[in-house]
Amino acid sequence: MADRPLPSERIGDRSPILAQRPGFVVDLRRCIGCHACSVACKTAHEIPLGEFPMRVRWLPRPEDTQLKASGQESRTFAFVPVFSESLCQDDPESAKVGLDPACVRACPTDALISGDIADESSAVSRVRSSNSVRTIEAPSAKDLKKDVVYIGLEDWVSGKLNQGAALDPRDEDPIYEQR
Amino acid sequence: MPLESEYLMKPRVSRRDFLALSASLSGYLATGLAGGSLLSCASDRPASPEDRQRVLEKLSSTRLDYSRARSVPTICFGCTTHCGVIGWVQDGRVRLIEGNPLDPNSQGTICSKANGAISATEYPERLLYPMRRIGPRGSGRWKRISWDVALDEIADRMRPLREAGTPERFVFQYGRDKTKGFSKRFTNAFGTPNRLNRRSICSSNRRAPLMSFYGREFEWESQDLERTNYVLNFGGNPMEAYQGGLFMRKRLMDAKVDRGAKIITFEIRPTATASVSNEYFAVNPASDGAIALAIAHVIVGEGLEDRAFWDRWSTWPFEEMRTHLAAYTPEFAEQESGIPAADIRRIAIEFASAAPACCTMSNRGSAKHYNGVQADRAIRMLDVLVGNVGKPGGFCLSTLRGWKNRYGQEGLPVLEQPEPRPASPKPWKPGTREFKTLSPEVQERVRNFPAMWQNKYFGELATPSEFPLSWHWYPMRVGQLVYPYIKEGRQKVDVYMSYTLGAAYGMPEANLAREVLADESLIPFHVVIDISYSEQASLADIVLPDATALERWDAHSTNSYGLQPYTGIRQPLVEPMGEARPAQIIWRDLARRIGGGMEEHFDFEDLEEYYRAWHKNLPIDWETFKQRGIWMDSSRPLDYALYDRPVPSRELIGATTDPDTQVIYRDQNGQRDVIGIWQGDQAVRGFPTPTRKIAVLDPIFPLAAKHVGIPLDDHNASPVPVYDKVPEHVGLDDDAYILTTFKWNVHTQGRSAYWKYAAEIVHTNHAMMAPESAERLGVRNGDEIEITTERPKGRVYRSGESEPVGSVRNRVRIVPGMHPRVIAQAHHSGHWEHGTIARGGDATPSSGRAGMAENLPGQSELSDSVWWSKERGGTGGGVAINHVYPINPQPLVGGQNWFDNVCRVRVIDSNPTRDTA
Repeated sequence: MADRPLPSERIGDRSPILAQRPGFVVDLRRCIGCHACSVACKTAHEIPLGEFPMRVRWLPRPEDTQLKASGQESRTFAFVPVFSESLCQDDPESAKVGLDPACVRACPTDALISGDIADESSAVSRVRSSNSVRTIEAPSAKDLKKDVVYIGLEDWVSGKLNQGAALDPRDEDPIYEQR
Repeated sequence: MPLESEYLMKPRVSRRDFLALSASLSGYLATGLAGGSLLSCASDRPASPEDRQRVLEKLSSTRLDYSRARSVPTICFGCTTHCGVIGWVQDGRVRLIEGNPLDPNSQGTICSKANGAISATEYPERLLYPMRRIGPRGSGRWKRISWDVALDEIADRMRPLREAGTPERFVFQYGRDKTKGFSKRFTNAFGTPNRLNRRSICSSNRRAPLMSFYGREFEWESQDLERTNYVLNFGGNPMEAYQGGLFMRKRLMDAKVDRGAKIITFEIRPTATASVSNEYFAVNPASDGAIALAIAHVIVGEGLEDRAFWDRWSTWPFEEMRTHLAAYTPEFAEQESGIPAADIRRIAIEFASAAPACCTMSNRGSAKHYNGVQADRAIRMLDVLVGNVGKPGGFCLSTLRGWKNRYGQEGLPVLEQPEPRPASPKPWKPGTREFKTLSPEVQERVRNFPAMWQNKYFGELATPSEFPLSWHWYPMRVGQLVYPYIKEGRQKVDVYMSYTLGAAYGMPEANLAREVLADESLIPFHVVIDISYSEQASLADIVLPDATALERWDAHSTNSYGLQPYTGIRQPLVEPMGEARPAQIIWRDLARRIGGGMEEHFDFEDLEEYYRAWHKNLPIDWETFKQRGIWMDSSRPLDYALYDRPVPSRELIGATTDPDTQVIYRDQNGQRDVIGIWQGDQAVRGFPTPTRKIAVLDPIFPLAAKHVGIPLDDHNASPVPVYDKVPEHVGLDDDAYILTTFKWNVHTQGRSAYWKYAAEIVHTNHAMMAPESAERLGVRNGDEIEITTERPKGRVYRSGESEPVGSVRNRVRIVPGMHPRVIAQAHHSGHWEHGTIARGGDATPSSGRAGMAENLPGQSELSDSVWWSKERGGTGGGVAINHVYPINPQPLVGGQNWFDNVCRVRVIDSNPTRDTA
């Protein structure tokens, strides 16, 4: 622990991330829905209120997808970070100095991975080529970023994303819904 | 990917606004410096437009440039967890906060609240200047005054109390004080014991059982989650809001995903923690103790206990315990909790089979009930029963108090506030002047107290005599009774100082807090120190602007989930904005003005020097400490089995052994220091309790009950863990619900509602209920209901009165997975102060604007961009709810029973066109 480099010490140790195709992997098994990523993104880039380069959805699990060992009814949530094709710019300021994007650095449970998917040897490419990763089929969703793939993506979540799950919190989330 | 992307070039807030923000923030800095000495606070001069212009010209770019920005470690103040963080500072502004990888607790992680500190620091409606009221108190009429005028007036009100020998009439109360004893330096130097808090609102029901078991040194535990295989979680929510342990989330998720550890959660609503658990059980509120005792019943029945550990360390004889548990069958627990007996049996066997790499976890969900102290004792007993205490993967204990060679701190440098430290006030023993100010009834109770309590008694606000276990281990206080006690005249108050306290908004029966704060006959003079113009500030006479977490120094230490003790430093990343000052400077300057010797304890000019002296024994130099932000000895063995560590032979010289208990002690200077216990022929440390064992059986409970008139057959009086139903939950009517409250993951108490990016995610607080409940009530999402709460029926404040506590109207939100008997409303919405963001976009000028800068940058964002405002068709900022939660302190310990409230629901507006869930 004491030997870990501080973020500032990592600058200079690493070349700029000159990714030809920046991409993300989201490990849904690890996401806890905390919003650290989206708030770090908005802070770092001073994004106006109402715009979301990325955000975290809280989706109520359908009854039949509930992991449960008992006979008791116990509905919970699934947490799904989503990225905007038009607003997310892969954090060029961080890339310039070899740091991961602000959202990835903010994730407390290592649910976000980023890197160059054009480079087959990159960590993000290696994860993406493994069996556990699933892309969203035919992303017809409005404005969802294409180069994001998910680990632990369940069919019902994938279906929701395809129906146009939006980045705007006013749209759907049952807990955060504002109308 | 072009670096200068179109997106970033696109005008957004408007580039002009954006530059203006940077410029004028830096402008404040530049002028606040007055000679360049850090935190000199010498200038009373506001920033002039010319100063701002000069800074503006120097700015070349407003983009975050990591190669140019300074990265400075500090300690987060976003919640109670206090993670080591690093801020990127550019052009005099903190631009981004991320985790400090050196912090053994956070392991370099943050949550969304860390960046809230930037929102707070740059909030356009932040308080920047002292102000004094000019109309009647609470009228919202203020004028800006200078620091000299403000401090002179406060000192002139305080000085006579000290000179007349009645310093206790100065009452100081804080909401969040992490000065690690600096504020106590001020109250001690003044001479008042009335340094009050709101611990009972939060965690005293949960700390008391732990201190009873393991001693005063351990009011919080440190589960070894890195190595655990099984976690039994009773109402803890470490994925969202868990006092002092939010950083458990990473170790928990690593354990679950990487190693297949199992997490079982008992809760009343589908929290994030419930959602990532392997199993979530929606339990009947306040039934956790029944489940824990039934689990113990199964473990003992199956012979899965660690009998050797129990016999060696528990104060409760095994056979007595077995007999006691006989009635707590899984079937009984099913009846109480609604959890199937088969599941309880299975979980008990799984838990015990995973020992010692298993642990319990609990928090407000189990503890904040009338029976919560006993529930947590039952939960804590499970770890002792399977012998996982202090073992790898088990329930561990790691020191959390300031480093002063205490238990578990062997070999750590001593870190203390610089001399000369003031003496503590003297206890109010029978015969003292203070004692004579007490009512005859209280005098009688205190006179009958054992000497150990008479030596700890300091009057009814600091140490309420009806709640001896709120101060038996250390003064946790009973914060929710402060206003009723002042109203009843139990303590005369002349000057009341609120520091980061949101009582007028957030206390249970907050309307009572407001009534007392508004009454000049009860509180003749009220000073508020805060960052934003709060509801509390609106009821002050003088308001002083505090520095934010990014502008101040503090020492930091807490327990380590990495099981290696560490210490950290909060340091200023930027200068205080405007004329805001760190609280330490405010208290120093007050002490100097009050005089009479008080000033001797505040003989420092520079806060950095003060904190450097505090840390002079660290084995690294100050500059390195500042650059790393965290120090720990990573070669130190992990804090396993502290109880088995031998007592060094040098300490045994001149020590005595009690032949009955085998406890080893030394008598020195009229004081008895217990240092260990003989286990066979080995002298070991044991636990820092009076018996040096784990007090699963603790006679302190019946003793306390006896002294306050609670019968010994009441569950509160039980020396061993028991379960009894909450009185008002017995025979609950079909149309009654239990009203609870909670925190969202992006918020922290009442102090975050104005952080813009947090408010954007959560700004409202629907009445959440299960689909079954909605169906029973005939309501759909968005329908308006009126919730009316009843008085509790236990041995508590205003118990059993038939008049309702209060009513609130709120909108329904249907949440599948909620317990069908529960209605839950988030705690932190519905503000009517703290400015535009907290008020949900209501941009009516704040009555406290005399203390704010005019035309601060970012103000256009407030009026134009709060998309959730009612004006824009949104829900606004939620509803104020805290007046309907009754003041309900647990007997003896005094923790607020937040989750017991019986309520009735009336449907106001059932609109069939609204959506269903």
